[in-house]
Amino acid sequence: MSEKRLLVFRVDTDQPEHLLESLLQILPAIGMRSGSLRHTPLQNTLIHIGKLGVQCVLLQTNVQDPDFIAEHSAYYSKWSLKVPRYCHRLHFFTEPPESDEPLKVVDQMASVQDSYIGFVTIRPISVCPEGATILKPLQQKEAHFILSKDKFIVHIAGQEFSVNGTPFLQQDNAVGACAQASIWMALRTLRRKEGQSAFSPAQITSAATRFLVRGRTLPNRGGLIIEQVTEAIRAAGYSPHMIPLRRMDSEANKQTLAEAKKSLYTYVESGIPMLIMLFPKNGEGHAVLLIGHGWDANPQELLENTKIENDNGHWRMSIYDASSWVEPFYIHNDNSGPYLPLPEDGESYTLKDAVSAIPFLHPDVFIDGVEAKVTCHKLLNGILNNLHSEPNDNGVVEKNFVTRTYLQERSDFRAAVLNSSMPETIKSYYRLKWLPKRIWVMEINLLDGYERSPEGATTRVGEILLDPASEPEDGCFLTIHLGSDILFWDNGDSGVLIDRDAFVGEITGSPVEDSRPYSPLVRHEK
Amino acid sequence: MSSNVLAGLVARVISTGEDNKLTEDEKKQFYSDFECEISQPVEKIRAEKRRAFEEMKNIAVR
Repeated sequence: MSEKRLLVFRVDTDQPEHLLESLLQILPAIGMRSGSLRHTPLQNTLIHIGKLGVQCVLLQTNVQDPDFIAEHSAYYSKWSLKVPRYCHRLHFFTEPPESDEPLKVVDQMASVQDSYIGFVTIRPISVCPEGATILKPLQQKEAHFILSKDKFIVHIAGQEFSVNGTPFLQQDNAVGACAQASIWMALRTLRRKEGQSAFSPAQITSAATRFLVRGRTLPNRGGLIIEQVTEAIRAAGYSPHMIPLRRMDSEANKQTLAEAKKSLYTYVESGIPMLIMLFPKNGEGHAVLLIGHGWDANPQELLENTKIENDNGHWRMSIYDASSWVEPFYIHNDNSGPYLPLPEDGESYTLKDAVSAIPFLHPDVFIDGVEAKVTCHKLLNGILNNLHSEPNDNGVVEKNFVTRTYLQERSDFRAAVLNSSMPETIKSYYRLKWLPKRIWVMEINLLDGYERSPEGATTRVGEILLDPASEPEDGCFLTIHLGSDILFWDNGDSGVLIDRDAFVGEITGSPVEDSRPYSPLVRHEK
Repeated sequence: MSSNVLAGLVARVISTGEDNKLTEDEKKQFYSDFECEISQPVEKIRAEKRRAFEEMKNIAVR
């Protein structure tokens, strides 16, 4: 018989307070000491796993982890001390094991749907043990959206499991610091969707330092400067434009925080991971990966995008930004753990520390998030501001809306349209209209009830579609759909659809009968 | 103003209840006016990005 490649551990859930302790007791079984400061990510990962309801752990030994093998080849293979090339991997399940025999447990877990929580790879490096990790996000009562994630297939002893999550990795600062770890997480998340490269941390360091070197590249104790970060992202096939969130020499204030939330939310809602550069008041610069957001149904203040008042002064409307309800954002922080909140304010890292961000934007998207919002609002503002209306007996009418802007794949947009309660004429139009592979969508929703958006209870009354493969100045919208709730002074139930031919720029307006409101796009946790 | 062109189109569709297309002149006016209206705010955004990148490009994160 060959050596034992799989070992089963039962987790005692009768004593949840001892969960972390019992999980940490597994580590000495694979030669890991504990207690080092750099074990914080692993400890927080295990706390996360405990919250997911783990009841069984399967230890897989001698795993050929491609990322660690690349690190080994680049660095550890040159050591005199023999550093093992292979890792261990811990697989986690929510069902209690019915046997101590690993194969029976693997077969048992494969027969129970959704029992697989994910895995943690343990490097044979005691000071930074947590290698490639993919775990489910928490299923919280509060609305909580981890949007930069994907489904990953895992094979164990001939059985197939899957986990839907965002890859996580602790930095091994011999071969890469926080930026490399965060870039790795983003590239792994996007690899299947975008078909781009998924470099190992060692390859990311190599790409970052190809043209610009500021010190030793191996070991890479000094981290990366921003220019190296952008080069690594470009080399991986993405368009690394930097989004300013506040100035380095001034502290965050109410206005900069509001603008930062608006800018970041557009990408988070698009499922695009973002590298966030944090510079706390008395600390070093640190990079984390922004992957999702929480939901505050009762925000203290709404963030305004624009105010529109028609030229006759008969009505006015305020248009608020959907990011008003976002708190906190969620990040993967390579030096403290996965799926952690990044609140607006607090003791640890906060949004106030964020100075700039770099989204992993596809290189074919020429209009960025901020430009898309400016363009769509300009179009909407221009139309509504100049429409003539008759005086209202009740004086000035006020109506308020919420806009939410995101980049969406054409196929996802059409699938959302098909499954929506949109009027049939609009559905047919969108299903047949030529659209580029990706589109900027600006949803227009009623303010009334928007706090219940996570339940799908919000009322969507129109949208503007923009071609991302253009310049904002070219006015390359694809569609402007204004439902009867936006054209409310007309007292009818008809809306208007403005179509722009993407190839020749012809613009045609059409009436939309029975233009009732419909539900917004809601991305449910799976 | 470009906005007037599109607002005019919406108004015509509402009043007639029928499809309506921008004429060649209206179309030219829309594109030309929209470029004038949006180029300044967009250039402001881009200038701030350039400034921020210059400010940050040599700063390390670790």
